This record gives sequence, C-alpha cells and structure tokens, in this order.
Amino acid sequence: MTLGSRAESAGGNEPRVPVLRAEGITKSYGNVQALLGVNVSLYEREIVALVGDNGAGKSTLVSILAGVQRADEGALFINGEPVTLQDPSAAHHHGIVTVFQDLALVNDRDVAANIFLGRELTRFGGLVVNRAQMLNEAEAIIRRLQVGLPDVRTPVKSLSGGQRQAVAVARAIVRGEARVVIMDEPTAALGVRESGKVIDLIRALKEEGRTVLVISHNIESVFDLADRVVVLRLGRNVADRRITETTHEEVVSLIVRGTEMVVP
Amino acid sequence: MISAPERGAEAQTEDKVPDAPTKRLRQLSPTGSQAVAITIVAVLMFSAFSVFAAHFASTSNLYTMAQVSSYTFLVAAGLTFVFIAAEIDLSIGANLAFSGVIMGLCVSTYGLNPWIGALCAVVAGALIGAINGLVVTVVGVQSFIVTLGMMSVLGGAALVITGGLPIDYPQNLTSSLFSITNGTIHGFPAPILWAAAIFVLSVFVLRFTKFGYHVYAVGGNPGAAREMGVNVRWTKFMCFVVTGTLCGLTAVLESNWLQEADPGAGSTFTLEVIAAIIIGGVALYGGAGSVYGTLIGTIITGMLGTGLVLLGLNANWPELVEGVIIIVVVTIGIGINKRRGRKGAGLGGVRRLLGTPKNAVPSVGQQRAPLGR
Repeated sequence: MTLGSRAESAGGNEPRVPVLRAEGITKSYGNVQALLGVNVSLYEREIVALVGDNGAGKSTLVSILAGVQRADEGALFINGEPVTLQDPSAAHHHGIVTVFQDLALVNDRDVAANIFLGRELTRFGGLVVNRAQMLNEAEAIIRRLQVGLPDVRTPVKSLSGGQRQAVAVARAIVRGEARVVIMDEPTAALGVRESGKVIDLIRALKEEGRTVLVISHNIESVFDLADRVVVLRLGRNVADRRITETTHEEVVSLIVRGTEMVVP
Repeated sequence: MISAPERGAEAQTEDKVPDAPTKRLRQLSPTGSQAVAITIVAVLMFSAFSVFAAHFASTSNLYTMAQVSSYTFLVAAGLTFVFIAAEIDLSIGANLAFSGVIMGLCVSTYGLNPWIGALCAVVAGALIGAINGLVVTVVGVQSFIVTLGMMSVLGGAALVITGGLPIDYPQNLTSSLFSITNGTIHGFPAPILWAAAIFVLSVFVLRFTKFGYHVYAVGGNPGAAREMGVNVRWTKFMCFVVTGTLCGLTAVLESNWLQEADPGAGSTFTLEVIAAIIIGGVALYGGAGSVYGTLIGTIITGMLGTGLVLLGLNANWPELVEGVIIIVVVTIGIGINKRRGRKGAGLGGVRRLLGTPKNAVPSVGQQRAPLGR
C-alpha cells in the first residue's frame, strides 16, 4: 500500500498528495485495542466509504479524525503537513468537519438558527442577530446543496430525516472551509427515499470539490455512492478498494471474515 | 436519535413546497399558534368576567389588576429565560422578600437615601441570582435543589433580620425615586410602565440577540449548543442573574408602593410566577416559549384572582382554580407533544422538576460525553 498506488486508485494520473492522511493510527481503551496501525488516505473530490462490523474501530477512527479523541500512536497529515488535532475546533480549523449521527440539532429552533448555531451573524457590534442575512445565507446554502426544504424558518423538528441531515451538513460547511466532511452513518435511521436524498446531498458536496468520508453499515448505499471503500476489521485495515474493482460479496466477506488485504 | 414517531412524520413533511396558507401556519407553529390560543383564552376570560363580575371592567379595578400583575410579570419575564434554558428558580419569592428587606433596612434602620437603598436591593437580587447560577453551572447541582435551598436560606434570613415583622419606611420619607417607582407617569401607574419596558427589553433580548438565541439553544439541546461553541454555563448563569436582578427591582417597586418591606412577601409569589409561565406556554423541558406567552399567562392568573373574588367567591378559590388550570394546561401540552412525536418531552420536564439527575433524561447531545470539553 504505497502512496502512489493509492493516488492512482483515486483517479489521477500523477501521484497526488492526500487532503487528509492518517498513518499508523493506534488507540486502545484499557485492555481493549480499538485501532491497531490503521492507515487511511482521502483525496480531493472523492467519496470514501469506511465500513466494518460493530467493534471494527470505525467510530474510534472518526473521533480521532474529528479531533474528539487523540490517537495513542500514529500521525495525521493534511496536504502532506503533519498536524495534531487537540480538539474539534482544531479539526475545523484544518477544514475537517464531522456530522455525527445524532446531528446535534436544536429541535425547537428553525433551520436558519440551527445552521448558524454558535456563530450567529450579527450587526451593531455583535449583540444583535442579523436575522435577514442569516435567512438569506441559509437559503443560499440549502439551495446549493440541492435539498428540498420548505423554508429555512421551519423548526427542525418538523423536518424529515434526510432534511435534518442536510441541515447538519449545511451547518458543518458554513463553518469556514470544509475540505473534508466526515459523516457518521448518515443513512442509518432513514427509509429508502430519504437515504436517496442524503446520497444526493453527499454527491453535491463532492461536486463542490469537497472530500467526503462516509461511515456506513449499508453496503447498498456504499456501492451507490462511494469512489472507494475502506474496510476495517477488529481495529485493522483489511482492504482499500476502488468501488469499480470490487463486489458486494467481496466487501461483505472482507467485513465479516477479513480476507487478506490485496493492494490494487 | 430519530425516534420512531418522528420518522413516521416524514411522509407528511416531504419536501414539496407547501402552499401559502399552510406555510404561514407552519411558521406560526408551535410557539406562534400557542400564543394565539392563549391570547384567545385571555380575551374570552376577560369578556366573561366583564359580563358576570360586577366592577371587573371598571377603570380602577383594571389599574389595580394591572399593577399587581406587573410585579408578577417583572419576575416572570426573568424566570422565562431560566425556564427556556431548561432550568428552574424556586428562590424568586424569597429573593423578592430578602431584597425588599435590604431596601427596608437601608431606608429605615440605616437612614440611607432611597436611591442607595434601591441600588443595594437590586445588587442583592442580582447577587442571589449569581450565586444560584454559579452553583448550578460550576458546581453542577440541580437548579431545583440549589434554588429550593436558596429559598429557605433567604426566607429564613429575611425573617431573622426583621424578627418576622415588616419594616416600615420612615414617616414622611420623600424621594425622587418614589415618583418613578410607585407614582404615576402621565396618569399611568409606574409599575405598569416598568413592566412594559421590561417586556419590550426581554422580548428584544430573547428574539433578536445572540444571547437570546443561545438561551433557546442551551435549553433545547445543551450538547449541540456546547459542540457548536455556545458557552452553555455562561448562558445559564446569565439567565439566573437576569432573574435575580428583576427580583431585586420588583422588591424595590413593591416595597416603595407599600412603604414597607415585608419579609413574608414571597411565600405565594413563587408559585404564582411559575403558574403564569406554565399557563403562558413556556416549555417545561426548555428550549421553547416566549415572553409574550408569559405576559398573557400573567394576565390570566391576575384576572383569575380578582375576577373570582368579584364573582363573590371566597378569596381562597383563585389558588385552587389556578392549580386546576396548570394541571389542565400541562396535560394538554403533554398530549400535544406526544402527538407531535416528542416522546417523553413532558415527562422530562416533570423529571426535571423532581430533580432527577440531568442524565436521566437522555437529550441528544448529552449522550456523547467526549465532546463535552
């Protein structure tokens, strides 16, 4: 698994520097080894699916990339530069945003208030909220993401699952330059139609030139969506395949049995 | 985190653009439609009392009701912040009594200028709020417990200081302060104007300032607010300070009106204020409600008190009726929330009132401790 082969697998002719690279990530909780030397590289304009069974270490890896936890060993590189992510705001600063499964929305507040939660647009010296500008910008970003939302003044609690996901994503990307968007099980609680909307949303993010790392249990949507699939099993890498070069059966077998990792 | 009923609602909220009237209705809900509903209740109640209770609609009675309700509202406006932030303050009545006693001490025992007395009383109220807020946010004790304790401490202190007797203001005490606290300004009783000013100010703060946005966020989903960089502790702390300050202000207004400081003033006041807020539709589980609702709630409880007495009922009846109304309102509220798919939302409020640890009500953000910083 050299850098070069991975770069090619991402579609470029020249070896490219990954936007985000995690190298040799190791993390344990007491006696439990959650991650053992895991490598992941994410390239520009790429949708990567991170799959694995329960306990494979997906969530641990995500929380390390999001800056929520620190790895025991290993290093993170952004555009080739080593970085340390002490906390989530450090990750945001480096353009890595994470949308967790719970979405962290305030149900009684409307879409615009949720999108700008914690960084409300203001005027008159920062005290008074600039509601008009917030509505405009919220509308603009929702339109850009091509998700149908009735009105940015709708309370989040009356939105569908897919729409809520869109609000969380919109909020993630208005916070500065989000080059890498990490989404934890974005379709887990959704029906087929709503999942379809979320998949469109993720594609829209890619269209905008962003990189998306999707954690998923849903092999179907992984094949629908991803350019590449990374399989973890018991805290180790078992495979890193271009989606066009693998099959449902192979991925399932990798998840369950962890067949030898084959470098494409 | 998406509960089953919410997913069930998906089908109805597909992304088709609703036609204009639906859209307007949706914008109103839920706070808006609730505000309309209780406004109608208030108007109906007013009409009924005007017809059936003699003298109810007389100018003097309206002024008296408005003045008494003004005191309730001033504190209720502050407590609305605390409620929306998903906390509670039971010490408001005791704070009112204690701050009043401070005012009384200053002008009577120490013979200070009433202006200085008023300043001391307002600062005392604010400090009490700050202590409540600090213990809740920094130490992390349930606000129910902290403020219950504070209620006893202050109530006891007020009685100890005064020996249980009201402190009378010195005879013939005059001050420019009195004209703005208990006189009339252009024919309007000053307390009503204070209430109007605080109404405008608190509506503005809650609806149009960053702090107001944060109060709703902190009450609605503290975990999410924290994650998005909102200072949850500071926001909640400030809600307690606002409430305490308004208790101090109200103590000054009321003591000046009566020209005495009554250490027992707060005994029924706390429940009256909470009743007004609950009737006004402020969410028991935090995150929703409005100062307008609280205003209407205050007016309703105020009308009940006077109206029932004017109907010829014993003066003890209003309390009973108020209690029934609270139970009915909360029951309806829980029913609505269940229909909307907010499973257990009402129960959460009840649990909070009973002072169970916050974690017992798993709110979305609280489940993910690592982000808690």
